Amino acid sequence: MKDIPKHSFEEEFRKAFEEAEATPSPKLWAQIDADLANKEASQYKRKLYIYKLRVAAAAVIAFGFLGIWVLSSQFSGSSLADLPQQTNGSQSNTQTGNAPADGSVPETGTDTPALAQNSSTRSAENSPESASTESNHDNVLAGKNKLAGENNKQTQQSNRSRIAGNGSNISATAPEALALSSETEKVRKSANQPVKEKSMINPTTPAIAKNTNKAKSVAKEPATVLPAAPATKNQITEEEKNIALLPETTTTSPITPAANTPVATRTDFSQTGPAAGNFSAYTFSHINRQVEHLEDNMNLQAPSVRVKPNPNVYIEEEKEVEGGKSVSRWAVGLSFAPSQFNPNIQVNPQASASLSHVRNSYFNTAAPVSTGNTIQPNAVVGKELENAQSVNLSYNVGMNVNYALSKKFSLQSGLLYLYNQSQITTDNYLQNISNQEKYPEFMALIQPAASNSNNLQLYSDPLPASAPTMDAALQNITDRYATSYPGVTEVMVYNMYQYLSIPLSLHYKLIDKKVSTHVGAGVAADVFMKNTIGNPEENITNQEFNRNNNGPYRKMGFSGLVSAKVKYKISSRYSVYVEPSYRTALTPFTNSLIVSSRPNAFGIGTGFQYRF
Amino acid sequence: MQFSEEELINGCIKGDRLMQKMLYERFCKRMLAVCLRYSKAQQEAEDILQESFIKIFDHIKTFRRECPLEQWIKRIVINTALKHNRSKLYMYPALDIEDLEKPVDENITLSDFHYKELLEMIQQLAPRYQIVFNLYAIEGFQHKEIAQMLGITEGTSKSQFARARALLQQMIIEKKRVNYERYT
Repeated sequence: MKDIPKHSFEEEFRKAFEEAEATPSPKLWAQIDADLANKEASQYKRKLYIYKLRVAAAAVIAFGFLGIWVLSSQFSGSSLADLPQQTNGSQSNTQTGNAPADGSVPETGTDTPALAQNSSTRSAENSPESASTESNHDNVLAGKNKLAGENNKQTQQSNRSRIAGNGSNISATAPEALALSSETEKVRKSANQPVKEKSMINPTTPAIAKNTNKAKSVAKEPATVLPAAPATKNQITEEEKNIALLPETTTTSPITPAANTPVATRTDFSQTGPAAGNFSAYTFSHINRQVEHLEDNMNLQAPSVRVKPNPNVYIEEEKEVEGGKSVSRWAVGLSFAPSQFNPNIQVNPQASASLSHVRNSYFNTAAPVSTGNTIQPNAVVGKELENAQSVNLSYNVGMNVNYALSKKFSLQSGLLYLYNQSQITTDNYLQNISNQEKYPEFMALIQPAASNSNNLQLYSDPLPASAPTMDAALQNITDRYATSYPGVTEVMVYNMYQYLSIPLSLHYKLIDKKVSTHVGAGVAADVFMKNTIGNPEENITNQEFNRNNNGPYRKMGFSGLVSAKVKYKISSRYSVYVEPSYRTALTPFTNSLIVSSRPNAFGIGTGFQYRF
Repeated sequence: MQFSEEELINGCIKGDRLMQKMLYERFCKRMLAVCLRYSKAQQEAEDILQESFIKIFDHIKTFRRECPLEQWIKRIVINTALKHNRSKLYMYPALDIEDLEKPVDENITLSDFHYKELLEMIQQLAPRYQIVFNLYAIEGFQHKEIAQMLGITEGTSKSQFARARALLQQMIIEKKRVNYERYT
């Protein structure tokens, strides 16, 4: 700045304005205050936006890990180590796997002498003609046994390689004893019979025949085995007690219920009680009904409340303005989601045992088996089903419709085609000697009738059409297998489920920017189309279950959905999104008492959306 | 309660609304007078003042205490006023310094005038004259500084100042004549 000469024209002006003051209007500070507040709010919003973005990113990551964890835990949850808790027969399976062939295992108890007698009896019963007619074929296959025994995997050797290692010296008693002991214990347990503590069963001692007979006789008693009624009833009784307390507690309150207040009784549950699987849902609804009844009888009325209109509620126009364009609340989209699918199959061991007791009794009383010991107890079959894993690509594809309820909430529905694949690895199958076709044993659990017919076809194949009874046919064939069955290797059996799904979900928008984030939850009605089980490459003929052939699958199931979506707005109308989602069955997808499937899937969907 | 400048500054840095209000109240009158010199009306001046104080509160954490607080605030107010008037600066053709009329009277005294009368005269000037005159005569900037601030040449600044000065002198003489006639 320059030095202004004193008394100049400019100096005069400067002096005149030196102490100049003017009073602003009183509202000026209010305006400044409001401006500052707005600025702080926008800064807060910016911070909140960053925070929400971080939370959304964390949620997406956490959700992904959760999905992976859930799936992996379900797979690992049905590992061999957990099997004893899952199926009654798993214990016997372990024993089978650990039992040495040389009979060095501790003795089993008082039943020891019996098996020898039974074995000899069975040998006597076998007709010599059938043995001789099969002898040539058996000799060829006996050679295969050795090769197969060498080729078996290390993991299988605990059970089978010992048997295979015996080569032509295979004795029917060893595997027989293993299979029988397993089956016997399982059936015993299922029949709630007291069992003596046995750590191992000596395979060389014919101990189990009695047990087998016993088991057979027990298994033939349908009332002792079929559905788990006692357990269910016990549960109901506990719930029942809780419900029965309801009216008593209300009597202590100032409001006295009417005299005819309904009280939940034992008969309410015992007569109309649901299946065990639906029990909790049933119980809750039942409790709700009881409470509603109670309230009705007490003539309780809600106090009248004056509802004031909330001035802060944002009422939208039918059309919204975005980016200067008027857009509708409606939007449509296309989506594709690769997913990891887990059929989550659970096998009811008791029902399984009861259903297959007849067939199992054939196996147990017969004299199986040679290399591979295909005829295993049901526990193994159940294990294989529960170990069903998804390794192939599953996906869903379809269109969705979105309706914006407000700035934050929207409803989404649509139509999706679900193609879910899982695979079951099994070495537990029967093989038709003549055409090499394989029949996985677990099919007996999925569709018993079909499996039985397969077995009949298989076993009766070399017999005349007038083969007298199923018993005779099975007996005959199992004896034939004693010297002729080829080695067993693992096979993959594919399940290809196809569903049409109609989801309905509510979405909440966390961040409303060019990149927006949403979370959503809802339900889906999944309409069963078909499931194809098989693997033609492994000589397992595809078997198709659809809506018409009375398969084990429900025609409709319901699933719960949760998802997190990150959407990028290309323009006011077009957007693309990525949506990790998890769906799990709310209801069983099978109507079988033996096999229950509550599938779940974790997928990462991508989609394109157009807003009208 | 009277707060020191330091307390006000620290309070404003923390975003204390009370301190901000105190600071505003301490300087608003003098700053409004400044704004009035750069504007044509009270409302416009208040707009400038409002915008200035928002900037002041936003940037007070950058105040390095190398000069008095009032000077720093005044500089922000002037900058805001210049920004506010920037669009008006080129509305009129610039005159060469040689084209200027000779001063009417170099011995004019202003002691008879209240500042509000002088303010009215300044507000009657064209915006570019008003701004250059304010910056040179009252704020004490050099023409070179003014040229940089306004993005004009130094010569333009000088010519506009000379023109403004001459116009004001004419207005003052006219005002004196009217007052003289009124009282005689």
